[in-house]
Amino acid sequence: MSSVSGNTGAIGRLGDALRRRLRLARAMRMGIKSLLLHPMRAALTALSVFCGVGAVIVMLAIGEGASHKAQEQFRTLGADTIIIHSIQPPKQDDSSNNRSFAVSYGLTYGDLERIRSTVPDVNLTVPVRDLRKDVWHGSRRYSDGRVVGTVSWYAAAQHFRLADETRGRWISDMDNAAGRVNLVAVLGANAARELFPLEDPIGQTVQIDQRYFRVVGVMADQGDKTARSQLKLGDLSKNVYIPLQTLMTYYGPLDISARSGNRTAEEVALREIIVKVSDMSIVEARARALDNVLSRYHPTGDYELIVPLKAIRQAEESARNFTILLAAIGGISLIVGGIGIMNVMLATVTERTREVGIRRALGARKSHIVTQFLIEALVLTLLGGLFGVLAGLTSPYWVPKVPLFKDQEAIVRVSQVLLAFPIAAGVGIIFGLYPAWRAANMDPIEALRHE
Amino acid sequence: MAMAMEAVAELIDVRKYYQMGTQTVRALNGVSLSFQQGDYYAIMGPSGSGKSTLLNLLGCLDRPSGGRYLLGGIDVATLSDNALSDTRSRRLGFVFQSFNLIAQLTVIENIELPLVYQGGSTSQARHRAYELAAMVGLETRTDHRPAQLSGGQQQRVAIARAMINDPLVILADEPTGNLDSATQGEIMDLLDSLNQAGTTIILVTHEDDIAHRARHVLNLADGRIVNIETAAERRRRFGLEVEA
Ligand SMILES: Nc1ncnc2c1ncn2[C@@H]1O[C@H](COP(=O)(O)OP(=O)(O)OP(=O)(O)O)[C@@H](O)[C@H]1O
Ligand SMILES: [Mg+2]
Repeated sequence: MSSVSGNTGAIGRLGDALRRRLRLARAMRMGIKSLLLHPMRAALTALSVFCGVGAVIVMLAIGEGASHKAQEQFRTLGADTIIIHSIQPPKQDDSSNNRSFAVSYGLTYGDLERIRSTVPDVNLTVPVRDLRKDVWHGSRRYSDGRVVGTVSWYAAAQHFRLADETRGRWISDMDNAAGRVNLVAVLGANAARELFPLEDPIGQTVQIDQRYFRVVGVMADQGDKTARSQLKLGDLSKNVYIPLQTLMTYYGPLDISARSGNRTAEEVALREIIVKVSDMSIVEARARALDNVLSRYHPTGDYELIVPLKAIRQAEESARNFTILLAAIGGISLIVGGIGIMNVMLATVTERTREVGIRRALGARKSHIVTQFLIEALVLTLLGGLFGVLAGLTSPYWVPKVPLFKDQEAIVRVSQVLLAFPIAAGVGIIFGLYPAWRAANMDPIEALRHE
Repeated sequence: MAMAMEAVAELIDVRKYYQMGTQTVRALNGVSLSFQQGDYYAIMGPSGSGKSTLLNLLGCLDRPSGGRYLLGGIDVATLSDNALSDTRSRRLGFVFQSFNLIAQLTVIENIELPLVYQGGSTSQARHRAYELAAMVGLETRTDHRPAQLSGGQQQRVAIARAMINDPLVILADEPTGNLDSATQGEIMDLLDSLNQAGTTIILVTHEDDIAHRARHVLNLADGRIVNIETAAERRRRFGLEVEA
């Protein structure tokens, strides 16, 4: 009897490795051949895996896109800023309203000074005062926005940019120099469009209550405004900006507005104070400090602290929840795909019972049978997975075009795509294992008798 | 044959029982028998007498319920499932009544299948498979699928497949049961020639003229050996010419 000669040495090991490679390639080829016995069935099964893998990647990409979008929106508000906003206090009683001519509430210059002197690590404090006024250009009336008086560093705090960096300017320190009145205005993008639909606004004049202001700059469009509107901060691009000093000189602290016949008067010294702290990590601590300082002087609670960082965190949190939800949907699709694989493999195994018997009779070990059916399941899942990955990779291009997703961004992470292959393979193995195990554990004699 | 013979397979009081509820079916009830290298046995007997059961045991597809079965000197009852599989792929060849080729594989792939499960070199296996395809006269059909072949041709492929591992024994359960008489003759001629070249053959048959070709005929009834006739005794009993 011939004995099998044991291969030793490097050449033998190399030969073994090569042989194993060849055998795997061969097993794959055989698997494909077997699957081609029922091409339609194979295609449909691969399709179910495609849907699963595709769903996982696309859902994660959409989640990632949504998260990115939300974070970007709030980031434009500044993660290192705190916005203090004057709000109308809850009405105490009707009689107090009648006693004085105007309702007086909100932030004051005293508050500004107190913040500057008592709260540490504050880099910038930006006072903002605004009025509801009509703005005119010739006979064109614009009443959609507010006239905002502010200072030069407001633009930096709000991430403002000029529409055309080479032309025009923002309100300067000179405009606000003590004792000066400068009749200059910077238009928000919307205000500029409304007042000057055809002409170039720079160098032109706009009229506010008989006074003419020279337009020195036009702001760039603010882009996405959902974050601001979510925080009830209003649309900055609708505003007309003038030097705070000028506004205070002409109007004092009183805001009397008459609109659509409804005459209201409010006395609000500062609409907003924007505080920029030196580091993002201390924003929340400083916000608490601010609240302590202010609450002592505002017992009625006529101010509100808005911390964009908190909103960013919330946006991240909800985006994360959204991503988890989407991933769960993807995961369920994947499981459904896996069940599809299992179903088909069980049918295949039953159908090919006799083949299993033949192979066992010819010397196949149980492990050979397991491997054979696992490879078939793997070929199906990897094929489906490959197309799923392609769908996922291209999702940034097609997702925004699908009406259902409403301009949703999709961001694909390489790690998620790389993960998709092992996931697809894992699904093939997990759901293919039981049918393969069933096949391997058939009694060879029974299997051979099977019709 | 004058040369000293060596037992390739030996059964010692082999039993196979099947439990059917409370009833015990004694498919084989104490069979002792030994096969020598180059033997040619036909197993006969009425339906249900245990022919297939005996062949399955000889083929290591099953283990006996009692007794010992030595194949090439090794007790099969002690072997693991993997060892049984390996024994089948290295030492045994099967030919079935219904050919049992694998539909999605070509002729050549079917023939080399037992070697694939031995995990040897694929190119050597392929080479040997072509030789055997030529031996059974199918060298021009090696890339065909079983469905494209006639029954006789399919059985030739099965015989080539049974030969590829140079088996100790070829086991054939009614190998011509699905064939017309002309084709039967061809297939039996092929098996005869393999035996003449030294291969041990054990086949199950219902047909006398097939049994006549074997050197020994084993008659089974109710799971027991009734008798073992030599070819000469049997031919005499059937009133046939005894070959010189
Ligand atoms: N898996 C099994 N379970 C229960 N009984 C079985 C099993 N296999 C065989 N038998 C019984 O064992 C006996 C012998 O069966 P076997 O198949 O060996 O007969 P056979 O001689 O090949 O018959 P046939 O000529 O019809 O093929 C029968 O009574 C059969 O019913
Ligand atoms: Mg039988």
